[in-house]
Amino acid sequence: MNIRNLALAGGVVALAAAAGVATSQQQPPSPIAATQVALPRSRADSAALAQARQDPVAARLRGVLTQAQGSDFMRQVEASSVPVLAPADPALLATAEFRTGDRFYMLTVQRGEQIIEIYGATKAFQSPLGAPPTQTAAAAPTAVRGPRIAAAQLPNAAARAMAQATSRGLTNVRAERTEYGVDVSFNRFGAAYSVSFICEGAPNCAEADAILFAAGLQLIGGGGS
Amino acid sequence: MRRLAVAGLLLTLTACAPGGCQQSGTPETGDANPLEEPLTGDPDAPAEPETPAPEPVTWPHEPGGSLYPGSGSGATDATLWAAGMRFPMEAGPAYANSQVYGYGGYLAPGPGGQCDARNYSYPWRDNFCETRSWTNGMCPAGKGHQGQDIRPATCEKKVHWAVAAESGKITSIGSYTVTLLGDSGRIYRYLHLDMAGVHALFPNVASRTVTRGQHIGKVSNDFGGNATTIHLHFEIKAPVSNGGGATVMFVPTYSSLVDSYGRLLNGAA
Repeated sequence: MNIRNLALAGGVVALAAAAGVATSQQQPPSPIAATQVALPRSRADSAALAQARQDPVAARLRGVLTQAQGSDFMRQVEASSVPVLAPADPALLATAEFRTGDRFYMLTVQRGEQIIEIYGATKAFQSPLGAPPTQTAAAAPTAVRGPRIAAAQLPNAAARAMAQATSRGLTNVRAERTEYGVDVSFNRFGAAYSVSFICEGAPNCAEADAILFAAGLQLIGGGGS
Repeated sequence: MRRLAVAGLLLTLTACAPGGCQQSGTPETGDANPLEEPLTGDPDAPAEPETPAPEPVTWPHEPGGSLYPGSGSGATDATLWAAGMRFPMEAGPAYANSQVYGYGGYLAPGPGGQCDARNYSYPWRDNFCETRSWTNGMCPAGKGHQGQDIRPATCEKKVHWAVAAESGKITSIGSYTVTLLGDSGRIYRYLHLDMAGVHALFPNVASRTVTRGQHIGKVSNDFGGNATTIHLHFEIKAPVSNGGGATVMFVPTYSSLVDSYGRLLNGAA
């Protein structure tokens, strides 16, 4: 070790001394830390889930997925405690990656230049400070930047997409522009879902399209107790 | 190693214990000879040196929800939505502040570039809910910035590491967006990293399982085909209970960042 390196190492030691003492002791939970709660499934949610399981499209998709991704993939899907929603397009399913955890999952597909992340959870984080000031009413999609004529047509398209989503059993549908695309959140089967479109400037990233995509998602498995 | 040491020295200079920046702690005797150790009960034995508990290192930071004046209304919710998370940059100092309302931003308070020293100084300032057209259910206005912008220690791109806020999986890597699905079920997004470097770190699906604190990429200014200021845009999304149900939404990041940065400065990241 030359003198310069020694001096630099000394600086790190001085930093450690000035910064305080590291501790391996477990910190007690903060009184303002969010806690986790399970999301209950109502009778209506259970009935809708049972009905969705009988949908012949779902059975066909499971076959497509088994062929494209292997039986291990479908085993993971079936083991998920969250009802797993996926797009009905076999081309998208061929790109699917699936991650699951404690009462949540994420299924990621690639559509051209877009990445689409479908997230579902049967648990939620709760503030100990009371209900956060969340605006839970269905948010009217905001206008998208682009040609004026397209922006003028959007509200109608978004309203139609919202209506279709509602008819498919989605509730609390919210669409929001993000720094990288558009997100749609909704509830179905008693679970909370979010579909994130990571477009990053790629075309066809309007809120109406995103809501229609979410409305078209199919149950492919999971949701067992 | 050299950069880490330089960053360490910078941190020493900018973050101090309330009592000052003097070194503290147990004096090191360096005495390894047991024969010369004073015996118990020896009247000539010096009294045990008192080692006061070190004062916690603090740094100036504005309270959560206190946005730059004129930049909108902040979220005053103090909930730790990601309690225990790792601060998303490997080392301090780091500066949470606005890119738009800071020097070099298009609504800057005066002349100056993004590397202006005033951008690279405390206090921290919340910019979740800063004026934007994007929907954000946690903001008083119902819309606003959906994350927190953080400048690294120096105004250099591809130098300072961003790290995993918790263990989990990198689920996607876009042209300027990296998504980390934490084992807790929270979704973390890191924007504007050096994306070529991110792709090199995670070349395939098998490489994308990460542990808390693991390198994710270096802070840069990637923004698709464009460039932005050198900073990390960090956001957290999670299912949030509203009493009767839940909505997956952006949650305020500032309180969790303050909590995690405090632990980082005090050696317990």
